[in-house]
Amino acid sequence: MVIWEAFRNGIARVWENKILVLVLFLFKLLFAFSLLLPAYYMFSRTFSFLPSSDNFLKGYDFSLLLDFFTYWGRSIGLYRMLFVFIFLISVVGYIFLSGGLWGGLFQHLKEGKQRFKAEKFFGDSGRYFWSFFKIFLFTCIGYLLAFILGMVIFSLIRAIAGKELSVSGHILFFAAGLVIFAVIFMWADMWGDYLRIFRVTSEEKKLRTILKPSLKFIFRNFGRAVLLYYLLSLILLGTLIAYFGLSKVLHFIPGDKLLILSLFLLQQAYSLFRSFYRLVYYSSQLVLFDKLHELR
Amino acid sequence: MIFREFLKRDEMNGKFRPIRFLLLVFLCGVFSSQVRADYAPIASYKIDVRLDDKEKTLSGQEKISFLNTSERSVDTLYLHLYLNAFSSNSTIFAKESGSLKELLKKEEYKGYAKIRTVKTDFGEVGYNINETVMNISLPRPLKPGQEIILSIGFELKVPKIIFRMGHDKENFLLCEWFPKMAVLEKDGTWKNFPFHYSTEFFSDFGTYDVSITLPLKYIIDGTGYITSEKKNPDSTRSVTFHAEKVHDFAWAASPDFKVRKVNINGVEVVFLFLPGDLYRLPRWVKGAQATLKYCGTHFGKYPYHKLVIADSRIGLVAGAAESPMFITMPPESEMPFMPQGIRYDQWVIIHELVHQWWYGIVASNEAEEAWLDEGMTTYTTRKIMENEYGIKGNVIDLWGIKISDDNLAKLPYSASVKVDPIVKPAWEFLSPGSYGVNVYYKTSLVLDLLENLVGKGKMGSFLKEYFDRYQFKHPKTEDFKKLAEEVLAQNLDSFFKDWFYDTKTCDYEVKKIKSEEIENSKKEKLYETTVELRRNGDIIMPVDVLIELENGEKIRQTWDGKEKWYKLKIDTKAKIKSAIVDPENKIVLDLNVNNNGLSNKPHRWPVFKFFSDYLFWMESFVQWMMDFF
Repeated sequence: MVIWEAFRNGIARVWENKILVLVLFLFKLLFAFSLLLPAYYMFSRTFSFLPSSDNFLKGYDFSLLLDFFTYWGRSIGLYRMLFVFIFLISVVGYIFLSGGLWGGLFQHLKEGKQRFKAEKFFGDSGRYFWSFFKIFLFTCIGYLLAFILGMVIFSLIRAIAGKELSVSGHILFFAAGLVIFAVIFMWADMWGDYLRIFRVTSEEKKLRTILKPSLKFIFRNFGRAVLLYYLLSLILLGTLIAYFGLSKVLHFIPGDKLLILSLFLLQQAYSLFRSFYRLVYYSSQLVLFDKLHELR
Repeated sequence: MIFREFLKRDEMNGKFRPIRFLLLVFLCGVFSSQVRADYAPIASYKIDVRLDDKEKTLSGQEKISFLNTSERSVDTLYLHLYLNAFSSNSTIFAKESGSLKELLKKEEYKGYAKIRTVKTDFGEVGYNINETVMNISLPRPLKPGQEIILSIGFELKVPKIIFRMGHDKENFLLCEWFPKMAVLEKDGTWKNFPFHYSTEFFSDFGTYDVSITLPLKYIIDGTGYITSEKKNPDSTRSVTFHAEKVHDFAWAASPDFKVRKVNINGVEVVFLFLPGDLYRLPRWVKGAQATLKYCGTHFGKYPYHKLVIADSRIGLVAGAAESPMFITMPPESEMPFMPQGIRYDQWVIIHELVHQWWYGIVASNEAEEAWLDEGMTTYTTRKIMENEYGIKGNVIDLWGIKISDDNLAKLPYSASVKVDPIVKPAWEFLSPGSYGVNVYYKTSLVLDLLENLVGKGKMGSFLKEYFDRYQFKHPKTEDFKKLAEEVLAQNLDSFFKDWFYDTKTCDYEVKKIKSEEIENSKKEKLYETTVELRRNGDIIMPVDVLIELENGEKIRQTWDGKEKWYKLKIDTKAKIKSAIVDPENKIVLDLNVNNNGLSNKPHRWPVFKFFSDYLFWMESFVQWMMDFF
């Protein structure tokens, strides 16, 4: 019940902070555009006036694309470097921005609905930046450990699956491995979220002082923390499947301009939803944390 | 020949064996229908070996009957000892092999062929070994048409498998493993090249009688038919194979093999699976069915009644190999849980099976003119993949991404043009990569181009005739060209010069299009339409140009492509909408098809679709980053 309540409450609180969703969406759009523009330039230069480019309306014609890659070979090499560079900036940018997002959600939890103030938002962003950066590095180690553990489990599964197995048996073992892998990965991610919650709620700057209590909190409320995280992830997975199902249908109906436009709108709507839902993750876990503290 | 071989053996053993006699009668019946009147075995082998699976050695002896079919007498015989390529990390093979060189420092990866004795009809003779090539000096020259019997005692160390042959614990895979005659050409020159990393094999046809003694627990199969199996008192058994009209004897043995046999079009296909791979059986059966049917119909019937497909313990390229009546497949562990839409396994099995026709039966010199096997095989593989899985997306058809075999061939070709021509000895290519690109991919595309130029029907007739005329004959590039000119009734000098012997490229472009109104007294408007064409490559080929007008009218013209540029001018009743050079994409090796057409107005929607998709992918990329950090 607490979990469901945290989830519902989380959604309601994000809804009341729609401006944060917009900030997140615009941030995403900005970096997506930066990554898009060089590729768009190369693509439009090549295909704008090519009669056979209409093939792209039916799907991605690889016979045209492979000459595109060959022709733009050197530029694509440069683009790859630019891509990595922009990606790294976006990571740092997001670490900065997430301080404001967590701060805003925490303030809403503490004091109810407030008007969005840019100086408060960016103040929080700056205030939490270094702590969040350290948490980011820490979670990277967590992901690495999760990856190693996952690979060990995969090897074990492959050793078992190496015996006589049918195709469905292989797929089943592979799916089981993937689920275990995802579960371990999610724990690392969840711990990162609770570290941020501890940082925001306790105002404790040192990472090592919040490591222990956050871990203690997770272990003490393991079932509820994990269940909420999995509930959020499961719903996200459901929306992903629904989106891909719908987009696939739209993608492969050839040629219609209205459909291309519909696909564009669907893509952007889903992108907006994903920004909204990221905040639901934060907000729901924040509410759960608050509730469990109250219960104690 | 069979009768004589069998009599010789019985003379050796000094016993009359009724079962063998009956078998002989049966085999005479089986083979007599298949042996062409003009076929004569040149190098035949009787091999008797014992496998020591603990020491990983094979010791035994062989009797080689070699017929001098050249026009000259020879006083030296040459043999290949391919296993010596693995004897150290300083062999020619090791030096060219890149990362394998490091492995060859380790004892377990080393292999060798040691010769104990060499006897001829004239008694014991001297020999000299230079890495993978052995020469035997004859006391008397071997005259044209004369046959010689060589008796060679040998001991082989089987390396841990890294390339084509070897062992992986108790799994043994051997091809080109025994001391083997080099090919003597008609003019008396020997094809006695050493074993290079990129080089494959070239041997004469003959009859093989091979007896392998190995521990009882092993399941074994290989080239040819098993004619006898007997248990020995020392917990071993001896398995004897007989094969005719083949140029190698390859075999695989493992205690872990699961055997499945399927009869396909009268051919008993024996599948040897290692644990965990049995689920690939339906795919392999389908691949074998498709290949036997396609090649049987388009080239000629598979001339044997048996085919072995063995699971190997070595991955990817080196794990998939061809031998007469025998192929190996790489383990799936190299690409675990391959989705259904990625037909890598299917491609590999079809490719290896097609080799039965071009390598096994036609058997050109794979070392010096590898394209005649690998290129032809890659081209035929594509035809079968297209037949089975469609023109588009026949190799990858996953999540809306469709990639065809010709796409996969063109990508590496475009990336490394002007490095090497197709026709040259394998060891003279810049790198194994360049060898692969030219011999496999460029060749297959050039054959596609030839097919597009002459038409499917004519190409089909030519290949059928080529197979029919040259089976068991080792044709050369010149033979291929000559027959192509004969059947296709075309002079192919410049085609072969440009595409096979040179690194020239081809790229046609529509540079500009315009329509200008012409003043005239008539009521209706008239335009002077100009299409500026460019030839950016060196290869001159006539091309079609398709012009579409704004009123929907389509005009087709041909440009001989001789000049570097050409302004095609015509009077039209409407303005030009678009122009496309080579509209059917016949020139599959055109380096940039994206400059083959031009429209007068931009195509906004495909570009917008790209914009929309790419923007969403980038948003999702940033989103996933946000989800985890």
